[in-house]
Amino acid sequence: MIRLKLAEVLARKRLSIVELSDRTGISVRDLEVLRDQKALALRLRTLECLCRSLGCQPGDLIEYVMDEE
Amino acid sequence: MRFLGPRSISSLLKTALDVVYYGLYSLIAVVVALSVCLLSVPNLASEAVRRFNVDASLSAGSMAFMLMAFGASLAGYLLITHWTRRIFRTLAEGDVFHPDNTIRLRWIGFGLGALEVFGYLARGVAAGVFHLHFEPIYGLRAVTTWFAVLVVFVLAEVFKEGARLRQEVDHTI
Repeated sequence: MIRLKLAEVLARKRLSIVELSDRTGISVRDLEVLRDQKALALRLRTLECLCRSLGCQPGDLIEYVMDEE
Repeated sequence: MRFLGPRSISSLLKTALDVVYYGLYSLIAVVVALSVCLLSVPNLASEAVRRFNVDASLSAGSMAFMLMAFGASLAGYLLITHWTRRIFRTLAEGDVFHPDNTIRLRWIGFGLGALEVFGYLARGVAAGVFHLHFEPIYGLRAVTTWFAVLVVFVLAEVFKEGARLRQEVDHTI
Protein backbone atom coordinates (compact mmCIF):
# COMPACT_ATOMS: atom_id res chain seq x y z
CA MET A 1 0.00 0.00 0.00
CA ILE A 2 0.97 3.61 -0.47
CA ARG A 3 1.44 5.38 2.85
CA LEU A 4 1.43 9.14 3.29
CA LYS A 5 4.06 10.42 5.68
CA LEU A 6 2.42 13.78 6.26
CA ALA A 7 2.28 13.38 10.04
CA GLU A 8 6.03 12.65 10.21
CA VAL A 9 6.92 15.57 7.91
CA LEU A 10 4.71 17.92 9.92
CA ALA A 11 6.34 16.78 13.16
CA ARG A 12 9.81 17.23 11.67
CA LYS A 13 8.96 20.72 10.43
CA ARG A 14 7.12 21.52 13.71
CA LEU A 15 4.02 22.53 11.81
CA SER A 16 0.36 22.03 12.67
CA ILE A 17 -2.35 20.98 10.25
CA VAL A 18 -3.91 24.43 10.53
CA GLU A 19 -0.64 26.16 9.64
CA LEU A 20 -0.19 23.86 6.67
CA SER A 21 -3.75 24.59 5.63
CA ASP A 22 -3.00 28.33 5.72
CA ARG A 23 0.14 27.82 3.65
CA THR A 24 -1.34 25.53 1.03
CA GLY A 25 -4.97 26.57 0.86
CA ILE A 26 -5.97 22.91 1.31
CA SER A 27 -8.76 22.56 3.86
CA VAL A 28 -7.98 21.19 7.33
CA ARG A 29 -10.48 18.38 6.74
CA ASP A 30 -8.69 17.28 3.55
CA LEU A 31 -5.31 17.45 5.28
CA GLU A 32 -6.70 15.31 8.10
CA VAL A 33 -7.87 12.76 5.52
CA LEU A 34 -4.33 12.68 4.14
CA ARG A 35 -2.74 12.48 7.59
CA ASP A 36 -5.07 9.66 8.73
CA GLN A 37 -4.34 7.53 5.62
CA LYS A 38 -8.01 7.73 4.56
CA ALA A 39 -7.34 9.19 1.11
CA LEU A 40 -7.94 6.93 -1.89
CA ALA A 41 -6.21 9.20 -4.40
CA LEU A 42 -3.88 12.19 -4.39
CA ARG A 43 -3.91 14.77 -7.20
CA LEU A 44 -0.53 15.79 -8.63
CA ARG A 45 -1.59 19.39 -8.07
CA THR A 46 -2.09 18.69 -4.33
CA LEU A 47 1.23 16.87 -4.10
CA GLU A 48 2.98 19.79 -5.82
CA CYS A 49 1.31 22.23 -3.43
CA LEU A 50 2.39 20.20 -0.38
CA CYS A 51 5.97 19.82 -1.65
CA ARG A 52 6.21 23.57 -2.33
CA SER A 53 4.82 24.50 1.08
CA LEU A 54 6.86 21.96 3.02
CA GLY A 55 10.03 22.34 0.93
CA CYS A 56 10.36 18.64 0.30
CA GLN A 57 10.23 16.02 -2.47
CA PRO A 58 7.27 13.73 -3.26
CA GLY A 59 9.33 10.83 -1.93
CA ASP A 60 9.45 12.54 1.46
CA LEU A 61 5.67 12.52 1.60
CA ILE A 62 4.73 9.12 0.22
CA GLU A 63 6.21 5.65 0.51
CA TYR A 64 5.31 2.15 -0.62
CA VAL A 65 4.80 -0.36 2.18
CA MET A 66 4.44 -4.09 1.52
CA ASP A 67 1.02 -5.40 2.60
CA GLU A 68 1.33 -7.90 5.46
CA GLU A 69 -1.10 -10.35 3.80
CA MET B 1 -37.19 23.71 -13.24
CA ARG B 2 -34.28 21.56 -12.09
CA PHE B 3 -34.62 17.87 -11.32
CA LEU B 4 -32.55 17.57 -8.13
CA GLY B 5 -32.41 19.43 -4.84
CA PRO B 6 -34.97 21.35 -2.82
CA ARG B 7 -37.95 22.87 -4.70
CA SER B 8 -37.21 20.68 -7.72
CA ILE B 9 -39.15 18.10 -9.74
CA SER B 10 -37.85 15.39 -7.36
CA SER B 11 -39.22 17.31 -4.42
CA LEU B 12 -42.58 17.59 -6.18
CA LEU B 13 -42.61 13.88 -7.02
CA LYS B 14 -41.70 13.05 -3.43
CA THR B 15 -44.74 14.99 -2.24
CA ALA B 16 -46.91 13.13 -4.76
CA LEU B 17 -45.47 9.83 -3.49
CA ASP B 18 -46.25 10.87 0.09
CA VAL B 19 -49.89 11.32 -0.93
CA VAL B 20 -49.92 7.89 -2.62
CA TYR B 21 -48.19 6.33 0.40
CA TYR B 22 -50.74 7.58 2.93
CA GLY B 23 -53.57 6.87 0.47
CA LEU B 24 -52.39 3.25 0.29
CA TYR B 25 -52.28 3.09 4.09
CA SER B 26 -55.92 4.26 4.21
CA LEU B 27 -56.94 1.81 1.48
CA ILE B 28 -55.31 -1.11 3.32
CA ALA B 29 -57.10 -0.09 6.51
CA VAL B 30 -60.42 -0.02 4.61
CA VAL B 31 -59.75 -3.44 3.01
CA VAL B 32 -58.79 -5.03 6.34
CA ALA B 33 -61.82 -3.48 8.07
CA LEU B 34 -64.07 -4.70 5.28
CA SER B 35 -62.74 -8.25 5.47
CA VAL B 36 -63.13 -8.26 9.26
CA CYS B 37 -66.71 -7.01 8.80
CA LEU B 38 -67.37 -9.78 6.28
CA LEU B 39 -66.10 -12.37 8.71
CA SER B 40 -67.99 -11.04 11.69
CA VAL B 41 -71.23 -10.02 9.93
CA PRO B 42 -71.79 -12.44 7.02
CA ASN B 43 -74.94 -10.54 5.96
CA LEU B 44 -72.72 -7.77 4.70
CA ALA B 45 -71.51 -10.17 2.03
CA SER B 46 -74.40 -9.52 -0.31
CA GLU B 47 -73.66 -5.77 -0.23
CA ALA B 48 -69.98 -6.41 -0.83
CA VAL B 49 -70.82 -8.67 -3.75
CA ARG B 50 -72.67 -5.85 -5.46
CA ARG B 51 -69.89 -3.33 -4.85
CA PHE B 52 -66.91 -5.41 -5.89
CA ASN B 53 -68.57 -7.37 -8.70
CA VAL B 54 -67.47 -10.71 -7.22
CA ASP B 55 -69.21 -14.02 -7.91
CA ALA B 56 -72.40 -14.08 -5.84
CA SER B 57 -71.94 -17.75 -4.99
CA LEU B 58 -68.90 -16.99 -2.83
CA SER B 59 -69.22 -17.26 0.92
CA ALA B 60 -68.38 -14.36 3.20
CA GLY B 61 -65.25 -16.21 4.34
CA SER B 62 -64.03 -16.66 0.77
CA MET B 63 -64.61 -13.02 0.00
CA ALA B 64 -62.80 -12.03 3.18
CA PHE B 65 -59.90 -14.25 2.12
CA MET B 66 -59.77 -12.57 -1.29
CA LEU B 67 -59.94 -9.14 0.27
CA MET B 68 -57.07 -10.10 2.56
CA ALA B 69 -55.07 -11.20 -0.48
CA PHE B 70 -55.88 -7.86 -2.11
CA GLY B 71 -54.76 -6.14 1.11
CA ALA B 72 -51.50 -8.11 1.04
CA SER B 73 -50.78 -6.99 -2.52
CA LEU B 74 -51.56 -3.40 -1.48
CA ALA B 75 -49.08 -3.83 1.39
CA GLY B 76 -46.50 -4.85 -1.23
CA TYR B 77 -47.21 -1.67 -3.19
CA LEU B 78 -46.97 0.27 0.08
CA LEU B 79 -43.48 -1.11 0.70
CA ILE B 80 -42.39 -0.29 -2.85
CA THR B 81 -43.77 3.23 -2.44
CA HIS B 82 -41.92 3.50 0.88
CA TRP B 83 -38.55 2.64 -0.71
CA THR B 84 -39.27 4.91 -3.67
CA ARG B 85 -40.06 7.75 -1.25
CA ARG B 86 -36.73 7.18 0.51
CA ILE B 87 -34.92 7.36 -2.83
CA PHE B 88 -36.77 10.53 -3.80
CA ARG B 89 -35.90 12.05 -0.45
CA THR B 90 -32.19 11.68 -1.29
CA LEU B 91 -32.88 13.11 -4.78
CA ALA B 92 -34.71 16.07 -3.26
CA GLU B 93 -31.69 16.65 -1.01
CA GLY B 94 -29.48 16.60 -4.13
CA ASP B 95 -27.64 13.49 -2.91
CA VAL B 96 -28.22 11.17 -5.90
CA PHE B 97 -25.61 8.46 -5.40
CA HIS B 98 -26.38 7.75 -1.77
CA PRO B 99 -24.99 4.27 -0.89
CA ASP B 100 -28.37 3.19 0.57
CA ASN B 101 -30.15 3.83 -2.74
CA THR B 102 -28.58 0.69 -4.22
CA ILE B 103 -30.16 -1.50 -1.54
CA ARG B 104 -33.47 0.37 -1.84
CA LEU B 105 -33.56 -0.16 -5.60
CA ARG B 106 -32.81 -3.86 -5.16
CA TRP B 107 -35.66 -4.15 -2.68
CA ILE B 108 -37.95 -2.38 -5.15
CA GLY B 109 -36.91 -4.92 -7.79
CA PHE B 110 -37.54 -7.85 -5.45
CA GLY B 111 -40.84 -6.26 -4.40
CA LEU B 112 -42.04 -5.84 -7.99
CA GLY B 113 -41.07 -9.45 -8.79
CA ALA B 114 -42.73 -10.78 -5.64
CA LEU B 115 -45.91 -8.83 -6.38
CA GLU B 116 -46.04 -10.27 -9.89
CA VAL B 117 -45.57 -13.83 -8.58
CA PHE B 118 -48.16 -13.13 -5.88
CA GLY B 119 -50.53 -11.94 -8.62
CA TYR B 120 -50.06 -15.21 -10.55
CA LEU B 121 -50.71 -17.23 -7.39
CA ALA B 122 -53.72 -15.17 -6.38
CA ARG B 123 -55.25 -15.48 -9.86
CA GLY B 124 -54.50 -19.22 -9.83
CA VAL B 125 -56.15 -19.69 -6.42
CA ALA B 126 -59.12 -17.51 -7.38
CA ALA B 127 -59.61 -19.45 -10.60
CA GLY B 128 -58.99 -22.90 -9.10
CA VAL B 129 -60.70 -22.62 -5.73
CA PHE B 130 -63.32 -19.90 -6.23
CA HIS B 131 -63.95 -20.59 -9.95
CA LEU B 132 -63.47 -16.95 -10.90
CA HIS B 133 -62.43 -16.02 -14.44
CA PHE B 134 -59.82 -13.41 -15.30
CA GLU B 135 -58.95 -11.84 -18.61
CA PRO B 136 -55.70 -13.49 -19.75
CA ILE B 137 -52.79 -11.11 -20.35
CA TYR B 138 -51.04 -11.58 -23.67
CA GLY B 139 -48.01 -10.20 -25.48
CA LEU B 140 -45.75 -7.50 -24.13
CA ARG B 141 -48.12 -6.68 -21.27
CA ALA B 142 -47.39 -10.10 -19.79
CA VAL B 143 -43.67 -9.32 -19.48
CA THR B 144 -43.84 -5.59 -18.75
CA THR B 145 -43.34 -6.12 -15.02
CA TRP B 146 -40.35 -8.40 -15.61
CA PHE B 147 -38.80 -5.75 -17.86
CA ALA B 148 -39.38 -3.23 -15.06
CA VAL B 149 -37.72 -5.58 -12.56
CA LEU B 150 -34.75 -5.96 -14.90
CA VAL B 151 -34.45 -2.19 -15.39
CA VAL B 152 -34.61 -1.59 -11.64
CA PHE B 153 -31.83 -4.12 -10.99
CA VAL B 154 -29.68 -2.54 -13.72
CA LEU B 155 -30.39 0.86 -12.17
CA ALA B 156 -29.33 -0.52 -8.77
CA GLU B 157 -25.97 -1.51 -10.27
CA VAL B 158 -25.61 1.96 -11.83
CA PHE B 159 -26.27 3.53 -8.43
CA LYS B 160 -23.77 1.16 -6.82
CA GLU B 161 -21.09 2.27 -9.27
CA GLY B 162 -22.14 5.90 -8.80
CA ALA B 163 -21.84 5.57 -5.02
CA ARG B 164 -18.39 3.99 -5.41
CA LEU B 165 -17.23 6.81 -7.71
CA ARG B 166 -18.63 9.41 -5.35
CA GLN B 167 -16.78 7.85 -2.42
CA GLU B 168 -13.61 7.86 -4.50
CA VAL B 169 -14.07 11.54 -5.39
CA ASP B 170 -14.77 12.36 -1.73
CA HIS B 171 -11.46 10.72 -0.79
CA THR B 172 -9.44 12.28 -3.58
CA ILE B 173 -7.46 15.22 -2.27
